[in-house]
Amino acid sequence: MVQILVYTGLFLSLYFGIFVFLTFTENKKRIYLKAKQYFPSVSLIVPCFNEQENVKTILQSLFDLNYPKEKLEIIAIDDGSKDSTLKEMKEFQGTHPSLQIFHKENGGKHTALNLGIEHSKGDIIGCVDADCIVEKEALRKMVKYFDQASIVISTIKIMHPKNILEGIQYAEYLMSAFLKKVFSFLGSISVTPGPLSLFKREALKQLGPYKEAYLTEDLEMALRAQSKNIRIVHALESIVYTKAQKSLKGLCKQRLRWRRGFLLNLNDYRNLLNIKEHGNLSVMLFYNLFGALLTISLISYSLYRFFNFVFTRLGNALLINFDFYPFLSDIGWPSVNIKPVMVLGFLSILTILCFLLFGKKLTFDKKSLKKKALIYLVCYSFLNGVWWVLAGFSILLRREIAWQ
Amino acid sequence: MDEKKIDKQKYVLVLVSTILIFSSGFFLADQINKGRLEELSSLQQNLRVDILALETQFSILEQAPCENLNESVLTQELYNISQKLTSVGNDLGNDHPQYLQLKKYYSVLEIKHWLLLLKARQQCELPLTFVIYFYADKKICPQCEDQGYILTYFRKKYPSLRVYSFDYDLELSALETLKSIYALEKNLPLLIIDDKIHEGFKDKEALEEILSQYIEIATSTQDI
Repeated sequence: MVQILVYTGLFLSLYFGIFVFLTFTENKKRIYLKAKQYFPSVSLIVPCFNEQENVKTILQSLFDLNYPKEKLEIIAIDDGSKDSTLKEMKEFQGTHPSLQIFHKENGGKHTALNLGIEHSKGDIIGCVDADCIVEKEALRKMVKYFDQASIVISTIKIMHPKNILEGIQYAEYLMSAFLKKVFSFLGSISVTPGPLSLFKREALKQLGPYKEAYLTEDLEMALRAQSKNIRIVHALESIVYTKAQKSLKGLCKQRLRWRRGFLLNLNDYRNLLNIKEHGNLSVMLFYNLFGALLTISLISYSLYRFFNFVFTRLGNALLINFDFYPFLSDIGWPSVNIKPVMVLGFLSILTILCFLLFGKKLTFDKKSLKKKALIYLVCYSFLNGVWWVLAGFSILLRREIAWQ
Repeated sequence: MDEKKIDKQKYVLVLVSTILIFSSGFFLADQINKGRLEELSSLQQNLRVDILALETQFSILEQAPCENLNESVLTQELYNISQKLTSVGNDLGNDHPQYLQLKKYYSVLEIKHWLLLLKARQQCELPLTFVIYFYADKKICPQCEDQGYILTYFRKKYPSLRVYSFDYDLELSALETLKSIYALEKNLPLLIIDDKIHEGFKDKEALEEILSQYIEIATSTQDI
């Protein structure tokens, strides 16, 4: 039974890998958009809650954007922060008078975004997370895509990864950049990321306001758009840097929120799983669901094997009172019986490595990947399995979760 | 929307490619393992040669007592084969016919080795201590695995100790004879240390106490 599960998982991941590479190859001439530059009016909304550390940096990066100033409107919303976010905003406004500031009682990110949309005037409306830095050319590159779509999402990368945890997130975002582009070719994007997503005003009008959506409003908005067949594309060349989660606890909370949000929102938009109506998108969503189940199963099995090994060794050590001296001469390479699962597992790892390298190359990343990729490969699947399990439990036990 | 539309041809093409690569994975593993199968037949060959070598040493011992007796090489070979056999058991499964066949060969080799050294000990006054160990499958004897590990530990600790392990349930006439000579009952794990039978699991301390009656502890590798 376990073997069937393991081989099913490997078959599906191999299928997915080949499918992704084939899609990428088919569309490799369309990776970056070569279209005529035009400058629609853009309103960028930055919702802030307790962002005193970040607010000036993000606002500065928006004011530094290489985009005609008369076409750019920047709106900062203070969502009832308890720290000096509002003060920081006002200070910044002193040197940048065109900045619009709105203050309201705390009501959640979606309410702040809706207030910003209400006051915006641009033909294009963008939502920007406060803990990010937008690359100078990002907006110019993104707006070019509006001749073919109503929603454009950006590439997100981790800002200055320093430690192991940030390295894992850095590698994850690189891989995600590549996969998002492929999903974009398949019309299967299922999230409009908070760091920077742009919407045509009429698309937002059609979609209606942001919802609380189990604290994953960006995911819900994308699923809502998909359910209304509003086209979302990915501008791979438009890069936004976001801060990595600094602690494992923070990372777990964030990912638990994302995965829980995915499951609950998908339940709300389950019509998206209708393959006849939504084709590739349905397949990718199904794949995500099966992938989650398989990850959990494979991780549980690997953990069982690992602990079984550890406990056997520990039991042996106890039998001889930890006197390993007589065994020292035995130390050497163990004999390994090559099984198909090893060959296929190696292929799956190779696929992930290729995704990472493509992500790095296509987003013009110069940082060294070796160590980060290795740590990512070792730790991520385990963490991912844990997050899916926790997300499943939090839904079953009807537990509410906090933003952070 | 066109992008969402399923391209059936592409999905089928990917399926065919996946099946091909998937089967190649099995084929590749099979090719790599072919070498191991060859190893298996060479292991069988080694066992046969070693049995003959022991028989020859027996004859030599008759003609020229204590001279040219090189038991340590054969003992080492015996332990090496034992390790390989364990690895084969793990790969093929403990009830695989080929594995059981090899185990029978190995058991005969062990008995021959033991008989040779018994004689050599008598004639050449070799300071050897013999442990014959009967074990069984985990389901029948849950503590046998632990007992085996403790015995390996002592075998490595005391170079003068010779351990011969036998599967109690292995259908082999030589083993049946051994069992009837010692009138053994199936109280496993079972140890015969220099003709004295010890039934049941013996932990490290208990076994060390028993062994101390036969082995001079000062000769342990730890003390050298």
